[in-house]
Formats: sequence, C-alpha cells, structure tokens
Amino acid sequence: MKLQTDDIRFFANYIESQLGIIYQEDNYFQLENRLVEIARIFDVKTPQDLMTKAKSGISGQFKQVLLDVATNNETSFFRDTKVYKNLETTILPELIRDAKINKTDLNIWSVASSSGQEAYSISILIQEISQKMAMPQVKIYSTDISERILKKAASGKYSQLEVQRGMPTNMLLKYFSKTEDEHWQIKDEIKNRVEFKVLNLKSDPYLTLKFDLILCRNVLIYQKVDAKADILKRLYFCMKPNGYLLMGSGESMLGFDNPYIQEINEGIAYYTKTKKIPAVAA
Amino acid sequence: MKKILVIDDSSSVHAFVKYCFHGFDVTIQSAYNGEEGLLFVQQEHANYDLILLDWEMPIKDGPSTLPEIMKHNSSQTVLMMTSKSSEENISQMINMGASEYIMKPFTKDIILGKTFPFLGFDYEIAN
Repeated sequence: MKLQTDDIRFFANYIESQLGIIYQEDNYFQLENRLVEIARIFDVKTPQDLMTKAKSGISGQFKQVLLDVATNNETSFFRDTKVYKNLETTILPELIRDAKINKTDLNIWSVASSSGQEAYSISILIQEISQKMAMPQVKIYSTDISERILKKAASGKYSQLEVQRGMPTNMLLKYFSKTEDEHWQIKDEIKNRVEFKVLNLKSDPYLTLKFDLILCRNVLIYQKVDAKADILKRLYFCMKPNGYLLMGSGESMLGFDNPYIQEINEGIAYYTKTKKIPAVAA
Repeated sequence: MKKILVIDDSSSVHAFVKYCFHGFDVTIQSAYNGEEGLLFVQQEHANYDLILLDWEMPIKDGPSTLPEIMKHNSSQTVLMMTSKSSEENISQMINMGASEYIMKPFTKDIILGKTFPFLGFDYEIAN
C-alpha cells in the first residue's frame, strides 16, 4: 500500500489538531508506516479506501487507533542505560534520603509513559534500592493520552520481543514470570507501586500531588515551542522544591523562557527549582 | 575490530546476524554446531569478544558446548541465542555461565541492544 503525500498530510493535519503532535514532511514515511498498520487493523485494502473511511468522519474506534498508533513509539525498558544508572546511584538515593528526613512520600511521575516500560523500570530500580536502604512510601504515577495503551501498561504483560528490549535477563528472571501464552508478566511487587491514569498534557488538569521526580522524556519533541513551554511551566508547579525533572537525552529547554535551573549530574541534564548544594566530602 | 563467533545450525540465523552487524566494526565467524565452534575457540589467538550460542544443534548442542568453552576460557562472554525460552531454560544457562540470553525470534534492535554492552559499543548512539 502506497499513500500520496496529500493523503498523508490529511492525517498529519488531523493528528496535529487533536494532539498537537507535528509530523514534518521529512517524517511522513514514519506516519505512512503507521497508517499502513492502521489499514491492516481495519482490513482496508487500498489507500483510497483508507482515505474514504477517514474523510467520511474520523470517530470511534478508528479515531482511537489512529491516535494510539500516531503516538505509539517503539519503547524499551531502561531506555538510555546511563540515565538509569545515574538515577539508581545518585538521584533516587538523594530523593529517598530527603523524603525520609522530611517524612514525606516519594512521588514519581512518568509523563506520557506509553505501554509502561518507563514506570516499571523505575519501580524495579526502587525495588533494587530498597534492598540496600530503608525506604519511604513510594508511588509512581504513569499517565498517557491513550486509554488503550494504558490498559496494556496496567496489565504488566509483555511479549517476548518487548521484554527483550532493554530488560537484562537477570532482571527478567527476578521480576517477571512467563505466562502460558508465551508472554511475560511483571510481578505484583513491581506492579503495585505504579498507578495509571489517562491524561492529555495539553488539555487536562494535571495531578495535584507534588513530585520528587518527573520523567518527561521524548514526549515534547513533536510539540510546537509555545505548547512545549506551556506544558513545562505546568509541570514546574507539580514539582516539590527539591524535585527533579528529566527530559530525553536529545531534548533541552533552549530557545524559550522557562523557570527551571539546569543541573548536570554525571553528564545528564536535570531541571530543578532550586540550586542544589553539592555534597561535601567528610 | 571486535570478533564474534556465532554457533548455530541455521544458515539463515548466520545471515541475519551478519545483516544486523553490517556497518559496525565487527568480524563474524560462523560455526554450525558445538564441536565446530569449539575448534574455533581452541585455535591459537582466537580471542573472541563474544560468542553467540544456539541450544539445539546436531553433533553437539549448546548446553554441552558452554561448559567446554568456559573450561577453555573462564572469562569468555557467551550469549545464548535460542528458541528455548522457559524460565528454567534461561536459569540453567545463566547458572552455567552465559552472560545474557536472546530468545528467538529476535529483531535487529534486540540483538544490538543485548550485545553492544559486551562489545563496548554505545547502543543509544548507534541506535
């Protein structure tokens, strides 16, 4: 199936109007691949049929699938190993210590976490750290615009291909069980720490809790600058005074006004509200 | 230049592994059963950075080959690459000294993601 550029543009405009996600013409091939996938899901044989179906009104299940597929990047556990290493050895222990001193819960928000790999990776790190130090109450909130993808995330069940993306084998054996239908089920001790909620970053009210760590990685790359600045400002108000915001490794806040202070920790950029005082060696 | 030895009885697996590493600074040696694999391992100056080992093969299978590889070089990095994928299968080979376990079928991003840390390559950059 081959789609004309104008047809792809029709879908790109629709996705932008609904989600604020922009597909530049350079990335049309990516959208085209996803449209072909949608055509397969709906058993549509030709590009003309897909266009007819779309132009007669995008609604119901077709709309949900289109928005899901448009936002559903291939994702992996522990994506960017250096970041997770730094979180495990430096940032999370610091936040855990702060939470214990302040007698507060440790709240983490995985923004637009798709099928849950990011939230569960963090939950596994927390589990590993909990074997080395006493923990406060930890809650991980995982939000996404897509109800379908969140249902999958909440199930904690992954295919053989999915668990092989980023999940080391020793962790797989420790925190997953194989199911009869050849999938892998994440264990309750990891799953119970994570709560899932549908949330549109552009239009819904944000979570009212204050967060120690907000992961907003590779989420805003397709947003226009003003939408991006607006989302980041709203996230700022969700952070605790000592909290951190983490973006994707290729992302930054350059080019627009923002209230954050950038802190570099072992080469990884974090965004904070207050300048951290470096620890002094005894 | 990193050296990988692939021990697998399927020629299509050898072809796919070669395709996956195409463009990287890697040379790949192919063996089609455990016995042939051990001959390569025992050669002087063999020094493979990584061995990818199948489970089910004629003549000598993976579980009987792995201990002999480890006996020859106890620090050898061996990754299983097999369609045997029960928790017991995986535990068995990890306990015998395999560093990682790749379940078939796999995709290019999976094999690169699993092997790159052992080759000293940066997966995030390559990806």
